[in-house]
Amino acid sequence: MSNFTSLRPNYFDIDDIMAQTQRVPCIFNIDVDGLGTDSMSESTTVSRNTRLALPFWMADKLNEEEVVDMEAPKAFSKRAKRMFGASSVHVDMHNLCPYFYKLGGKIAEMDPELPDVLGGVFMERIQMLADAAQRSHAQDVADFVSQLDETEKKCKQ
Amino acid sequence: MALSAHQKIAFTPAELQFLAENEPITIVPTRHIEKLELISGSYGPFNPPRKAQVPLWLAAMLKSSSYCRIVPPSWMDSENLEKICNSEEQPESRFSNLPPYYIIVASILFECAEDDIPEAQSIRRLLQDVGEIRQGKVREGLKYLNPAQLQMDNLSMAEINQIRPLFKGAFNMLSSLADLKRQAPFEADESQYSQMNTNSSLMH
Repeated sequence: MSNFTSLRPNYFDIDDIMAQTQRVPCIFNIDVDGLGTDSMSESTTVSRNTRLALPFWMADKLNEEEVVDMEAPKAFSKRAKRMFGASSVHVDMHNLCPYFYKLGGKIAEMDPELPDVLGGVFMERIQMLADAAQRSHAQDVADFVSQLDETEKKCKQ
Repeated sequence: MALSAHQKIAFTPAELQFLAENEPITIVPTRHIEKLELISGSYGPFNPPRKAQVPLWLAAMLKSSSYCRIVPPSWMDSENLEKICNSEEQPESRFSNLPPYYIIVASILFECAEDDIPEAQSIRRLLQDVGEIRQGKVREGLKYLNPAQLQMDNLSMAEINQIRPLFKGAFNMLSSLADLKRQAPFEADESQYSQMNTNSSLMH
């Protein structure tokens, strides 16, 4: 169980796999045949400069091949960072990105600020998490727990 | 392993109590008891006015059949606990030196030998106060959590057990965040290095 709260890739960790299925916005650099699944149009070609949200596992590979440019997902945008700066305790992480830390760990090389952001958010939330772990029946705690990221839930158990 | 998820990461209260029952404690036998030959060792013989040291489980058993009186340990004294309570309340104070099983030993003694503890009520209240203050401190200590180490001396087993699952997860998380941070400047160095190379090649 302990390994499942680390950010290192882990084949046996279902959260690690789920984190890779999170969608990441991408912009296509070239026309790609056969990737499109748009039922409205006949063609399956995704044309250049299309913006699509691809699962991380696909986006990462296509990014490596320079087929697409990966952009920061919503949870790691400038706006989200400002939100964490204000108070990360009140962010509904479950809604924003249920695999915030795991996905953050994977895209950290895109953004050098990210490790610090993740660390800051975790440190701020851990105290609330400790309280929640000790008195799990109160209503405010139940609300907080429903807003936890999956990794935080593992910590709380 | 056929252990429940909770048992894999921490002790259950019953397991902790089992461990605490091996703590030695002083008893005053009230009647003569023959030498007890047990698998874990032999105890006695016990002769009434002479005090003897036995494990807590044996003391509790003898007490329940009123073969002995239990002498409460020296820390279980209302004056001492009052002092501890005051020093714990000081801001920036460390955890005071209480035995590792103090919560559990106290609860066992209250259960089986309350009549042997002078001022049992006030001791019970003081122990509860000390426990709550310490719990608050542990919570404060979370602020100073870092991936390298965490120093909380004199924390009792029950207190450690309470925070073990959370701290274990948090430490794992923090150490992998630290790894992530370490990798980032490493990549920056590399790009600087390649920039330097292009600069030098321009110079030639």
